[in-house]
Amino acid sequence: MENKNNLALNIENLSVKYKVYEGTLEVIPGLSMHVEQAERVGLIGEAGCGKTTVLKSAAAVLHSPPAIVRKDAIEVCGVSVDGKKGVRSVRRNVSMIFQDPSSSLNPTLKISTQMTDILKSQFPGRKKAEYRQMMLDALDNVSMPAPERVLGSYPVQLSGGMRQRVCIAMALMKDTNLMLADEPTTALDVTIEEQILDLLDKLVREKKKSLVLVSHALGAIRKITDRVYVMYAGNVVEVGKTREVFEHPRHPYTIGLLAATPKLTGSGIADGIAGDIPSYINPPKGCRFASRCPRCTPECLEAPPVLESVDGREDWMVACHHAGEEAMA
Amino acid sequence: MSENVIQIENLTKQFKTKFGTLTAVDNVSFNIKRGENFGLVGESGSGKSTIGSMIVGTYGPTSGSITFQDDIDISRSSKQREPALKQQIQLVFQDPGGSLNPRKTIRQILSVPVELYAEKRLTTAEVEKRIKDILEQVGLPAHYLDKYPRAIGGGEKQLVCVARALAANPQFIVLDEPTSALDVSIQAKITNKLIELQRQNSLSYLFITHNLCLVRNMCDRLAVMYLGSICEYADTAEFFENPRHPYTQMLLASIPVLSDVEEELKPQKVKSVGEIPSPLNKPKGCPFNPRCPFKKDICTQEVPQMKEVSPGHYACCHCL
Amino acid sequence: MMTKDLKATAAMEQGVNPRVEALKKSWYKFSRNPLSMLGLIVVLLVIFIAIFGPYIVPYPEDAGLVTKIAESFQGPSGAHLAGTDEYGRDVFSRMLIGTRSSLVIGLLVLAISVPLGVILGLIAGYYKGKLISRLIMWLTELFMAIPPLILAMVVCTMFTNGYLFAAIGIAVAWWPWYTRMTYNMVTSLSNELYIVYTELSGVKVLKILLSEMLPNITSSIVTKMSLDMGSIILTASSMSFVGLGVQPPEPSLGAMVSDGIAYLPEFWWLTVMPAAVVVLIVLGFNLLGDGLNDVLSVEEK
Repeated sequence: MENKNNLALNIENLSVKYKVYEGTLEVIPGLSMHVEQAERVGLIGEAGCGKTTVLKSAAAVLHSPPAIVRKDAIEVCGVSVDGKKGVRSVRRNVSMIFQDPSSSLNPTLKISTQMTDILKSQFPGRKKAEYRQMMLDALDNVSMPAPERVLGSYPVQLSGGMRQRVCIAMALMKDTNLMLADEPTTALDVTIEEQILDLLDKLVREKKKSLVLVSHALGAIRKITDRVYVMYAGNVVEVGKTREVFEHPRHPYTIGLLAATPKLTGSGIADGIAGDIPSYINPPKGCRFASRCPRCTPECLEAPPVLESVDGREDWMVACHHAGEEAMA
Repeated sequence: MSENVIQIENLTKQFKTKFGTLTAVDNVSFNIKRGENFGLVGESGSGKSTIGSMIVGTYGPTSGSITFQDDIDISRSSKQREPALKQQIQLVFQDPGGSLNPRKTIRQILSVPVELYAEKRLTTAEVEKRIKDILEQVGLPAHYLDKYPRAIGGGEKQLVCVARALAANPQFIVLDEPTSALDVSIQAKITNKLIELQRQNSLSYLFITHNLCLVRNMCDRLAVMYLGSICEYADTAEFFENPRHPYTQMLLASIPVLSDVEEELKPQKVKSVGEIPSPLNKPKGCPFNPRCPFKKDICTQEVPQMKEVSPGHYACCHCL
Repeated sequence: MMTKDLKATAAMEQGVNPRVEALKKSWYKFSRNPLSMLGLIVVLLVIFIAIFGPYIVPYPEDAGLVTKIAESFQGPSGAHLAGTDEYGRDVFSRMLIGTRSSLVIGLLVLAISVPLGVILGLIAGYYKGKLISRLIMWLTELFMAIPPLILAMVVCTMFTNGYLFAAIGIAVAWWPWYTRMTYNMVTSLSNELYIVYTELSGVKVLKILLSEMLPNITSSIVTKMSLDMGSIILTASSMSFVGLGVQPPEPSLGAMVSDGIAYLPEFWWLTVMPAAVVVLIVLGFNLLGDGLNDVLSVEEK
């Protein structure tokens, strides 16, 4: 973190709240993360942990109100999201891929129309044939079979995998440094998921883009990211090199999550993590994981843990009062 | 005592659609033994849920037969089945939110099967006792009875669905992707609960899923389906050690795993290519031939026959 | 053990009646929308006036056939808030008293058309594709094709002219909308897994319809009832405008507008005032309906 302007994405102390009938939902209390240029970062967490909220804040598409957003900084490639101008330039500087490719394409328009719209905003005033060539190139880029036919089709005429390829092609047409992918393969079949992940991996490497991959599928994260943030109930609980974290998780939540995932080895399934994510209304004042944690001590109920380096390493941090202790059974 | 809970022979189901006849299930045969947890694996359009629906009787088959407990023919829709049969075969859906009536409390939801299948008319106290018993069996606290489905978590909803199935006191439960809408940490709890309940109540399961890792850890035997046909079927351990069909190899190779140890367990030679064709427009010959790396001429001409490659291990491929 | 304590307290908190809690939450959501609250206030006011109108108006005797020639055609003033008509009767008093008949007709129409429409809709929706369903829907479409005002006029002229028959007339035109709405909702509910489950388990049809489906459509019906109340009152006013329904000298808002037209534009209050009241009532019921719609639709969060 020598120079912050070199970061593809920099979020400092983001907090997001919502006011509802029962009180205030403190979804994200204070979250910092960064993505370096050409780095591929994973964001793991289960439903309701706030990972999509983080992603939306980064892309400047989080609606506020209703969300009450406070932050020290959100910068995309050095540009802050503050003000109308900032928001517009950030939106232009990130491309997003969503979980459900069928709802991120307009069902009433042909693929070619939807792609041309993006091209027109990126490269105004070109000839029709030029646009067409660019679209074919873009589809070719994502190894789309029969791109000519795809251009003339409506989204419903394509399979889920093909639609996601179109979405990736469209995301790549925007000449941006930062790509945000929100569960891009969750809706797809396993064999298709592999193809899409390989494709994303290849394209991001080739074009030296930065990628944030949000997913609850741990395998997908391990496959294509360098570094991983593990989120629980709005907090980052562990950050580190993906392989290392998966090999020797330090936070009890990461440990539980990895243990609960069924393995090919057939060694049975650990009993998961008892309980549920705590309510965001009056969340526990100590560690938010305390009520489900096997290591919980009175200290955990008192003060929230902060991210601290593991073994004095800069690139591996854990937010747990008992991070130093060996994992208990 | 009968050996098979469910025996399926040459089962075929066709649907008429605007675009022609869709063969969702094509000449499928297998059996589920008593006390067994049988996994049925496949991607979208493979027909795995259609088989589940025929067993519970959402609709009857176009041809072929389903036999329950060796001698009861159940190849017809549930409307034409006796109440006793409906009680024996229960169902848990994928989407726990959608399968519970949002306007009813858990108590009201669970009292439906309890009252429906009771041999005699039960008093309110008896119903209440039975509901509480079942709720305890699936591991939910009694104060959940007064809650509405929207007030409880996804995993807990699925436990309520399991409780509702148990309330009928069944022999056999079809579990249609029971955990795929849930988080990993919750999925583990539900699957372990399901295994525990199976042992306690000597149940048999048909576990329909797309998650091979889950099957690896849960099921005794499994069958893999592709476009309406079974490609391979074997004991779980044997299957994962020695997958024979090119599609099952591709499927296994595609799984994103969590460690190098698992990486080594995957067959390495098959890379995933191509799209799953629409079941309306199936390829001629072997349904897998357009994506198969070992394709021969015969594959595009003839549908392969099921072969026993080793005792109890069947695969359906011309190359074997 | 810590966690257990936490859970126990949580259970105690959650021990409150979920229905009461849901109601409180709905009220919170409803009360945060000023337009819905305005609608509610107007509707409550209308109901209050309909019940107590004759006892609180300044000139209750003006509801009948009285003539006070000396006071005729007076403009709005402190003594006569909405002026007086050609017989010198207080328009304000007559409006308030006329509100009662409008409301009663509205309630009567709903009391007839809602149960009829919903029952037919449940049957048609559940047996979709069968003969009975097609028959019901065919009948529904037939009645929908005829404008409600004309249908109501036919009924009124066929039988005796009056209150009750005006209501029956409007109800004949109104039930198909409830049938159609229920039909649509039941057909989409049939695909819900919890309905599929009950069907597979062999629960009786009547029980499925009444205890599984009906609770899921009540909120939409209630919302529509509130929205319709406005339209029905408008229709009833239109009918009394052409002389059907409530008979003179009993005041009705529509008839007052119609009688006043002859004296436009000098004596504008004779038409504008009762017309404004109709608009206000209709608006009130519509705003209330919109608010109910927002609150009652089940959302998963």
